Amino acid sequence: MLKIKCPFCGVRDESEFSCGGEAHIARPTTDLKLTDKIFSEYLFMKYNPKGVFLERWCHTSGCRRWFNLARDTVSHEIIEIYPMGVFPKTVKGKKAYQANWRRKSKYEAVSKPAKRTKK
Amino acid sequence: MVDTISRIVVGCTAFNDKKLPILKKPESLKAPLIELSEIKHLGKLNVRCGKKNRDALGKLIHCNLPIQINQINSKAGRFAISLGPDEYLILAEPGSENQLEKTLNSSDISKYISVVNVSDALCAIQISGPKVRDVLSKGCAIDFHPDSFYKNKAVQCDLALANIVLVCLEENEFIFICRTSFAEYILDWFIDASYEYGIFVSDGI
Ligand SMILES: [Zn+2]
Repeated sequence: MLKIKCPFCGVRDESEFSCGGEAHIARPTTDLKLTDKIFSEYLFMKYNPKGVFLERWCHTSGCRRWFNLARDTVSHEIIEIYPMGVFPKTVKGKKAYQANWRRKSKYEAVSKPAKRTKK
Repeated sequence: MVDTISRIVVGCTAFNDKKLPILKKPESLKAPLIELSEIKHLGKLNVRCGKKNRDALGKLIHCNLPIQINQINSKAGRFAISLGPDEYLILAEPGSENQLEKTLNSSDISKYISVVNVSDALCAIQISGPKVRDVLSKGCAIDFHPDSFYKNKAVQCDLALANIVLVCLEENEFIFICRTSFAEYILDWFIDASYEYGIFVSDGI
């Protein structure tokens, strides 16, 4: 069983959490460019890498808050836990974000992923 | 029929279908080491409120809201438990919850908060006794050592298969809040789990 550190409640057992699948999937905007093919990429196509994977998790039995988690699918090592709406900060996490096929897909070009704000 | 109506009028209690009191203990024990009872008709309000309005909300309910999550503040019979970064559970004296709900909904900050009366959806159950931490750790993956689960700490977790909010009032005294529909299941679980220490379930206040 994984021990996951909820950003609010602290370290808890995996059984208290539920996994929400791949993180950073941007919804395509309703645009004339939007074809069925592009929308099906958003709706059906998922990424399933061997290595670091960015996921969304929810602390269902605890505070019921969502957060993002970078996990190695081979070793189950949890590399990073970061809030919703934010991008990974560790080197491995950034690499995993860039390695996703979505970054080069047509579908993401017509959607508007949340942009990193520089302050 | 008359019985059902009177039940609705007085509101839900957790152990409607149980014949209380229940005493279960091994013969070698003189007295039970675990005591369990319901705190009946306790007012419960679920409030969503951001950081900005936390102090104003605290003044309205006459009890400061805890700043850290997993904490409980109490003052004059009212309890405020933080359930999340912007979510609180307010426990109020029986019968005062409707008035409190009205006060909150007609206040200046009513636009920025959400108040839900969950008095009958949830029930509060008190457990105490010298072996209470041992029994709880049978069904809960939380560290119950007195140094890590101390007075005025509150956690949300799974007890057996039910979702509960567990509050430590004194070293060997806990309150937990669960769904009313799960209360009998939890009572059954407690009678099983604490048989070796002896358990006494009373009708409550
Ligand atoms: Zn949590």
